[in-house]
Amino acid sequence: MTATGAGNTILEVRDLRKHFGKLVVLNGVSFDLHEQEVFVICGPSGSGKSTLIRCINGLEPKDGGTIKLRGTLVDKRNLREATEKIGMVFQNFNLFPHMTALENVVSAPVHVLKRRRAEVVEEARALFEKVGLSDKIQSKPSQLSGGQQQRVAIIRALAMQPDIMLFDEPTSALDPEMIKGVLQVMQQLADDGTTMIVVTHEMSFAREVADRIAFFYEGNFLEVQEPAGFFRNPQQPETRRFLGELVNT
Amino acid sequence: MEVLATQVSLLRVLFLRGLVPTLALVPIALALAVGVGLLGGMLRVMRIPVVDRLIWFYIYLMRGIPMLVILFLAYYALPTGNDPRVAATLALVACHGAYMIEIFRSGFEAVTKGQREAARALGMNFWQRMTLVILPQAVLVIVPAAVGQLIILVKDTALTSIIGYVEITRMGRNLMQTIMMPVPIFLYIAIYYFAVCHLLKLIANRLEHATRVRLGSTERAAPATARAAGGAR
Repeated sequence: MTATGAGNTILEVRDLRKHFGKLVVLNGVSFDLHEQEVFVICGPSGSGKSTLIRCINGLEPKDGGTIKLRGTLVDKRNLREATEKIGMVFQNFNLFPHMTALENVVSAPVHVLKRRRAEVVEEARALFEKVGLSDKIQSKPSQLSGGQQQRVAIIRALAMQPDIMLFDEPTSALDPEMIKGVLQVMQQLADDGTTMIVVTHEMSFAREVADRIAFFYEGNFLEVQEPAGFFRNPQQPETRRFLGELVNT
Repeated sequence: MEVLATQVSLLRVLFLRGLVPTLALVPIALALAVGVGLLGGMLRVMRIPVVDRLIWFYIYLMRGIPMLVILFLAYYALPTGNDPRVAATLALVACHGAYMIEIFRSGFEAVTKGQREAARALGMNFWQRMTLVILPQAVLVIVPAAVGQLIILVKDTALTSIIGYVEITRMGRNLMQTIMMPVPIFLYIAIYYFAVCHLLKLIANRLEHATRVRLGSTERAAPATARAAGGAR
């Protein structure tokens, strides 16, 4: 793992605000993400973690604040171009059911990035190999298990060669026996130097893979630490209570 | 023997000078109504403020006016050069296009939010999201409903005789003036209409089945059962 702040800043979030009606979901969130960094966000359900990463790639319009990707301000005009550079993995996979696994992976690079199909297919084959699904290339999503679908969803995002990968509770919809395979793939990505933000409840993953862990509580970061300190010496009572509850369950 | 010959020639005349002109109306009216539906349905899901309101108003109008009145309006109010065929086509498109818009809209909206978000997160623009992700899935919802509407369109062509378009129903009435045999004439007409609609329904079932196969499951939201079946094999 790289030390915090070793790489260049790739994403700058400043004073990000979002509310649904009267409910304040993001209350002025600010942070920097560095190249090759793995940033894990945890916290109780409904605290706004998912909304935070959905605002970063524009799936939710933000109500205030700024987001800079590689120094460029992301606004309405260049949002779509920015999303090309931000990969997203959803809790429910959201593979396209009418396409084969391979087509799921190659369609965006071919149609959005206008790259040569043969070249993209070759890269896609390597990606399938990497996540151990070479034999599933021609399968439809409905023929794959949840864990297999999520691994295809990860390489679908990777095939766009994004600057950042966002993971929105990638293992929460999976049966326990499927979780390990997906986490292994994510660990592998981290080892390869992929910059990623991971919203997850998988604390063992956070401990082993994260460069920094943030505890998100009521619309903002309550504390951000390196994993060792986060687990050994959490500063805030809410963090201690959250970690305690996870241990007890 | 003579009776049979009369019946056969009745069927023949009704086919050539009745069913053929009836069916001649359908392809153009259908193509235009589907075009209106596709365009209007897309515009509706885009939710452009004023445009959306206008389309909504058009649909609301068409729902509240009888087809027969729309036909008269098309014939007398539009510059159709008093050509009943043009007026009939326009009236059919105006009326059925409105229903088609709602069919396409509901098809687009049946595609889950997660699908649309995944397409957006991959950087697809509106056109790419539509053609690569939404339309291929929406057809499953659109096809059965659109064929139902098409069948109504076919039956509505019977009304076009009122503005002087000679199609099968009109032909039946014309025939009655020379041969006073209303029951066989209208029975044959009924059989022709039914045969055409039945054929359309069969084609629709085929299409629907093919779409389901392409989507890789018999039920869109039940990959779990497909998996269980696969495991048992």
